[in-house]
This record gives sequence, C-alpha cells and structure tokens, in this order.
Amino acid sequence: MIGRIYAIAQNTFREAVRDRVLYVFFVFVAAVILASRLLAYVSIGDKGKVIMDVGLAAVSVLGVLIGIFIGTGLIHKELDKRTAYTILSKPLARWEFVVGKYLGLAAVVTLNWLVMSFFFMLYLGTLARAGLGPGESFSISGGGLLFALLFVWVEILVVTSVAILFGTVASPILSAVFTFAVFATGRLSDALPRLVEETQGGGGGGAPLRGLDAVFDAILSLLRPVAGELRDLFMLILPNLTLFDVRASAVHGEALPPGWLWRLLYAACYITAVLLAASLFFRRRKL
Amino acid sequence: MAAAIETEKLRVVYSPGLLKRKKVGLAGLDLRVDENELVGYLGENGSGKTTTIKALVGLIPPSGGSARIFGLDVRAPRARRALGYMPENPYFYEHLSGLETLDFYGRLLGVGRAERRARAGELLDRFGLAHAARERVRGYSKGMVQRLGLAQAVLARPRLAILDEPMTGLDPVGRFDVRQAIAEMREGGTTVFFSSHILADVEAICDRVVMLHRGRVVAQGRLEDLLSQRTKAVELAARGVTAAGVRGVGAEGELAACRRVREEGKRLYLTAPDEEAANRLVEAIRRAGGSLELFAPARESLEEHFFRVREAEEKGDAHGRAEALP
Repeated sequence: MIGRIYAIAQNTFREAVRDRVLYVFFVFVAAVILASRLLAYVSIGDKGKVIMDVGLAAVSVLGVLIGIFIGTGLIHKELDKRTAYTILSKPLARWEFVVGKYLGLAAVVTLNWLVMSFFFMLYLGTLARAGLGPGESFSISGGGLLFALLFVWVEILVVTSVAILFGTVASPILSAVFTFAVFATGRLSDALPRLVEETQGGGGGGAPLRGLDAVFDAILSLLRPVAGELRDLFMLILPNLTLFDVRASAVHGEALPPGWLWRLLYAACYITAVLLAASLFFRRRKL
Repeated sequence: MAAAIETEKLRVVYSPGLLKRKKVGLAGLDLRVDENELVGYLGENGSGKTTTIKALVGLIPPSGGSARIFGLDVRAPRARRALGYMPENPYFYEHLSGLETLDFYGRLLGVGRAERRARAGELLDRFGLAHAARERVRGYSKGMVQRLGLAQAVLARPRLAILDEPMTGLDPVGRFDVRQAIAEMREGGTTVFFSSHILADVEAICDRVVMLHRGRVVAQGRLEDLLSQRTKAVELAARGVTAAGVRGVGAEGELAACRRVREEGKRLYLTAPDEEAANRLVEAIRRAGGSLELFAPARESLEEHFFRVREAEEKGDAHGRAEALP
C-alpha cells in the first residue's frame, strides 16, 4: 500500500517538476517581493512591517494559487488523457490513488513554498543588513517569521486538499472557482458569526424595499430563523483559515500564536476528512 | 476450478445527469472464460465490449449482477493482482520514458526493484522498444505506444490478460506483431480475452469467440463449432465425366441447383449449395463413370457468421418491438 501511494505521489511530483510548473511562479515571487519594497517607499509608518506583510501575503497567495491550479486539474487530467485506466486497473484502491495524488501535489507546493520562503528570508536578511534607507533601521523576529511561514504552508496544504476534492467531482474551471470561494470564505471565517448576528438583528422599519432588494430581503427573512444553524454548518464544512493567519504576530515580532498545536491538529484532521470525502466520491465514479 | 472470468447477469447503467435518460451499457451479461483459453470478444460499436472490459478491470463499478476474476469480486483490488490490461488506444505519462513507464507500473504491481529492471529491459527488447527505452513517451509513434501498452499489460506475468482492441490503428506489420505477442502469452499459460473489430485476426488466433449485441451475448462457442454448423457451399472436382453425363444419370435437378458448373479438359468442376446436394452429385458422378478428385466444403467465415447473427438479432428485436405494440 505505502509503495503504491509513494509511486503515485512521486510520479505526480515528477510530472509537475518536468512540466516546469514551478518556474513561472518564481518570477512572480521575485516581482511581488520587489513590489513590497516599492510599497514600503510609498507607505507611511513602519516600512519594515509593510515589507514583511506583503512578502508573507505573496508567499501565501502564490502557494495557494499553485495548489488550486494544479490540484483542481490533477485528477481530471488523468481521466481526460486516460492515463488513469492503466493505473486503476492495477491492484490499487481508488483512495490510494487520491491520497498519492494529494501527497505528490503536497510535495510540489512544499517545494514551491520552501523556495519562496528561502528567497523571502534571504531578501529580508539583506534588507536587515543594508537597511531600508538613510536613517531607517529594519529588524526581523526570526522565530515569529518562521512560524508565520510554517502556518502559511499549513494553509496551502489545507486549500490544496480542497482543490483535490473538487477535482474529483467537477471540471477544472468549476473546481478552481469553488476552491477559490472556499479559500476566500475560509479567510473570512472570523467574520461569519458577526454577519449572522447582523442578519438576525436586521429587518423591519425603514422605507419599503423594491426590486432585487425586496427579493434579497425576502430570502434573508426566510433564512433568519435558521441563520445560527447555517452558520454552524458552514463553520463545520469550511476550513477556518484564519487559524493559520499568524502574519500579524510575525510582523509585530510576537512569539508563537496561542494554541498553535491545536491549530496544526485541526489542519491534519481537516485534510484527512477532505481526502476521505474525495476518495468516497472518486470511488463511485465510472471511468 | 474458478473460471478466469465469470459474470452473472452483469448490469452497467450510466447516469449522464439528473435530467438525462439513463443508458444501459450491459443488460444482464452472462460470460465465462476458462483458464488457458484465448477468447475473442466481438460486437459492433456501442454493443458493450469496452463497458464489459472496464467493469472487469475495476474502472466501472457494476450496477447489478456479479463479475469475478479467478473467483474474486472485481470490485476488490486484489482481484486485479492476476490481471494484465491494455485499454483501447492506451495513453501513458508523456513526461516519462519507456523504461520509467514500466518501472512505474512495476511499482504499482509490487514487483521488486531488481526484477522490475530486468523485466522492463526484457519487455522493451521483446516489443522492439529497446532503442527508445530512455526516450520520453511524448515522442513515441502510435505503434510504439501500443507495444508499450502490451508490455505493461504482461509486466507481472499475469494469469489473465484483457486487451481492448489491441490491433486498432496498427499497420499490417503492427497487427502481426500483436497477434504474435498474444499467441506467445497464450503459450506462456496466460488466459487471453480480447475485443476486436478485425474479425480476420480473431479468426486467425482465437479458440473461442463471444458475440455481443446491445449489451447481451448473442452467440458464443469454439470457432470450429460455430463455423462448421453452416456450410455455405461445397466445391467438387471430378475426372472422366461431363455435365451431360451427370444429367444423363438423373441428376438434372442437382446440377441446376449448382452455383457453378464448369468443364475444363477432362475435369468437371461443380459448386454445390450444401452438403446434401453435394452427396447426391457424388453418387451421380460415380454412376456416370467418373472419379471424384475433390470434395471441399466451404465454411462460413467469422465475418459472414457475425453478420448473419447480427441480422437475425436485428430482426428478432424488430419482431419483439412489433409484438409489444398494442
């Protein structure tokens, strides 16, 4: 079992590397990091923090984009090009195939994250030595930065698993849209309870609504009684990506985020659950 | 002993979508292939050949009935340990070389590293791909990909090889190579089940054929049994007798029924429509003082048999539909 999963994962990794998927993004990374420098010049306040913030955001967004774009097309490509036929006719369970594909892609995004992080730290180190400009000092909290990068990596792994899940049931374009929507809402997980409270507290009074506003209001009125339950359902299904956003701690030179071990455990459980669901969907699929 | 392949009322139903009608791929297929047989699977496009094969190799979960390989349910991955499969128009990872491709499949099959290397080299050599072993599959011709497909199918010396249209798109040399490879598999003790549109190839190498029409088996049996059931004509050659002489001994009717009557030198050549008429003509030739030199029943070819069965099924279906009408 391990040997088969490893063979699938290694082949997935090899394909991405040989297709030079990673090279394009290195160029983007360089451009974005340089842009952070430019932003620092035009911004007011602590320019070092701006550079750190923009750089970490770039590593996060580009890592997630690679995960989404490769992950959503990975299984579809196997079916479209029919390479899956000769693989799945071997004594290999479908879940082994899904897990192997995920691990291979995880290796790709990890390599990409490592390279981006390395260049980013090198860049920050250079800035710390040379300074930002005349009279402007720049200091890095090494530990905080490393943990921020580690959690960015964890977030990329979580989003990549979601991309694989959608890739087993929908076309690459739809899967990419869905995964991106999950990523965006996952990042807003903290705001969801507030939104629900506002929805529950709203309604009544004011001028009568017309057109689309009236339709939305009617829908909201229908949802209002179950808003709490819907929130709980969404919170359960959607990944709470805000748990992995510890950039603020790093930028402000703070120590480890509270409950960091639980956050990592949450990520591991979430990825396992998503891969289980992907395997179940893929198991029923007629090729 | 468990059959190499055994299906009972195997059904496959495709559900294209919520609002579209379901499509029946296989409508209760009963099929049995015994060990060491070489069986050809025939049927026109859309008859369910590829669906059967996909269900047998685990690519399509059956919707009903059962399918077993050496007694094991095809849904269990371990049923595929004894199996080698080549899909129609096989595709492989283009970023891998031929050698890497076989190594990859060897790993999936649990073959040890040393054996993988030895076997991959041996097979690349056997299928004429040794020169391109380190070239990426991206640069392979169709024939080379097809041969690589056969190589991966027999990599772990399977007890059963299932090949879907292995000769499709190949030139005569390629077809000959594939036929030879199939014959070698069989000599090596592998049971071979393959589908094909090229009936001449099936006739040349198979022990038994199974004919499929609209997801059901409509004819099956050993080739000699299927084809000897129907003699389409009998060629006769006699010496020392003429057509007038045969007519003179009271065989005018038999002679008139002949498809061909030709006199050439001292020989008379006749083509009788069936064996009974031919036997009566032989008696007449002897009575007229001639001696028989040739008695050759011309059997129906597999292609002719296939079309006859298909036509009968079409008529049967039309009849059934007409009866079902109010």
